[in-house]
Amino acid sequence: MEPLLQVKDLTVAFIEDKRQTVVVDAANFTVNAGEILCIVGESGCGKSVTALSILGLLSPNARILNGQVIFEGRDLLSMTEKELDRIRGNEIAMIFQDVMNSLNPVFTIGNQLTEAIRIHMGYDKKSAKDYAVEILKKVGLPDAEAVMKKYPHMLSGGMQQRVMIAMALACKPKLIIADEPTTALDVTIQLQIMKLLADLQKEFKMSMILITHDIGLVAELADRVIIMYAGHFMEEASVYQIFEKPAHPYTRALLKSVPTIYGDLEKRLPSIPGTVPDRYQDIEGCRFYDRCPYKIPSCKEAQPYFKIGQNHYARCHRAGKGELPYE
Amino acid sequence: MNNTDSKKFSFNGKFQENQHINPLIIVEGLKKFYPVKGQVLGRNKPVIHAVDGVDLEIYEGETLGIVGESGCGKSTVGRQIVALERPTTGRILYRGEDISHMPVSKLRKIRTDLQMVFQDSTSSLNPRKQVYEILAAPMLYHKTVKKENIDNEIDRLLDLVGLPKAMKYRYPHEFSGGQRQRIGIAKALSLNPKVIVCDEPVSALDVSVQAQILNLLKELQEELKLTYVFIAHGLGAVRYISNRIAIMYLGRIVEIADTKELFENPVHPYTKALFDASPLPVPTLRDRKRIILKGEIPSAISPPQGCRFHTRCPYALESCTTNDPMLLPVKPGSSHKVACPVLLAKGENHD
Repeated sequence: MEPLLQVKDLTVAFIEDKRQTVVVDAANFTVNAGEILCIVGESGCGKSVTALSILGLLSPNARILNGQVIFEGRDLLSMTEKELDRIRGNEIAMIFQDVMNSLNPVFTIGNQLTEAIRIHMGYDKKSAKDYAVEILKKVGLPDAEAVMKKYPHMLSGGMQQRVMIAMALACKPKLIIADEPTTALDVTIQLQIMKLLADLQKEFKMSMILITHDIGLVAELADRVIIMYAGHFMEEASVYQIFEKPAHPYTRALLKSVPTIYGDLEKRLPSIPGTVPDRYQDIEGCRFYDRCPYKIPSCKEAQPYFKIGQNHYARCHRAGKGELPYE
Repeated sequence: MNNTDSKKFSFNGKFQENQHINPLIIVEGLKKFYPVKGQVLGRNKPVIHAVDGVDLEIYEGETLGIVGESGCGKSTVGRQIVALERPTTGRILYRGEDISHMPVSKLRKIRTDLQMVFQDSTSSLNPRKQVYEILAAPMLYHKTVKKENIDNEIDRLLDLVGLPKAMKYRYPHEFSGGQRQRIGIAKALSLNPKVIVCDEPVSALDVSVQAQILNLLKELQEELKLTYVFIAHGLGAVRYISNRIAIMYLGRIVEIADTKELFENPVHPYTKALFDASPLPVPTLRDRKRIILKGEIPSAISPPQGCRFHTRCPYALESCTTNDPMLLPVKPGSSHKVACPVLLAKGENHD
């Protein structure tokens, strides 16, 4: 089956003082119909830029240097703004982390929601309103009629995020891109929103790209996982493969460094020494080299993706040759 | 289980029982109300009940974790402990002295003992000052170090938190988030404190850096014999660093116990829900049975009558809406205390 979305050789750079800094380097991935793909990485690794490039939402100082984003056979990167507008919200919707800045503070929730519905679905005022109330109920806002009349600041963070999800779902998109949708929320609310997203994704048979740094969230939601580090995809596999048999040394170190609520208490938390290299664009070989416990001189040569198993790839020649057994 | 009073925390994190010591800090009946902004008229001005009756004891050398969601009052408790604010009612005793009603001149001497590390290292470090000035300022103000020794002292501090000495002439924006948090820790250490309140020190950091900072805090505690109050909303980090943990909800402590005991036998329904809500990095467990709380945290301006958690509690009875629960030991003499008469009456295993 054709994948719903195919990203090919996507390379994005920021231009500053005429200097070009590549932040996403030849990214290749697909999103299949009905699956949740998690793109995981630490801040500055390029995960959000990857997501924003899909809908052409990058800031003005960013340039897409190369690549294609093929959605149902059409290349989104070669579309005009007008053509893109018909895709945005309608077929691909986005949920942002920072809800407060994504909702317009001077319009009521009802105003903003019905506007989107009328533009994209061609409903008249009355039926748009009824539909908006219905969709607000769907995302677990019991007093939907009252919420319609409220301004964003009158709602709690969790409710605002529900409104954002309602807005994203309103046009029944085929793909939702969620950029850290629960990071700003409290733990118990986070679980509510997470469950809601997962249930709705199944019900509406949507695909989802979930951008996050939260390893726990990945384990709870993802079907497939991409691990990003310093602008590179380091590993790609099913969620079970990633957690049971991580191949790349970075993935292994990342998973171990998360303090969890079970397991041995006395142990020192295994941290990754050092920091992400500053000008990682200039590094020829593996970008994790400096921090890697398994490095050998040949790691300084460019690292392609190696096949580890079925649908499991890692950018590490040692893992590819089976030189990194599990302890 | 021994009484908390007869428990001493040694610096490797294990308990040495049977040595009778007094708590280093005692929090008694602490309440802190803030007026609601923008309300001018009216006789009964609404107030936010940020902390509404908290009693705590903190022992020398231990790490007490305080966990709760935003608005539960955990940071407010932290600020009262280091005497950044005065409580509305109640008091804080540090080594037997009431610091919450102490005149400022006297408090100034004690402040060097009580320091704080903040979550947001960007806004807690002056962007116009070099690291050198940031670290020197408290020592010069409190005159704890002679001027000619300041240089050496700053080198020592940077070394303690794992930053190269050469970095002392840089500005905060030249550092990464993890490095800035190290500077924040160095600043707190500059006055040789006894107690450090860490208010979400790792929440804003990346996962791999979080582990580095948590390990650093643990090492510093052993080396300098510090007492920590570690405030956080993430259970993983708190579990890793704390000897004891207090769970807060809407201005009250609902459960407090030794870390191991709390994670093995959580009693309060809110504690359980909090544990259940924490994502586990084990994909095969994603369909596990768990409590998913309905609704949101009620407003702290008019908190619910009776048990504050009854509006979201799956075990709530009629009596919970009127009876204000007290923090009681799960067994006589136990240091594991819970404010839930319903589940206490059922015994510890009620699932």
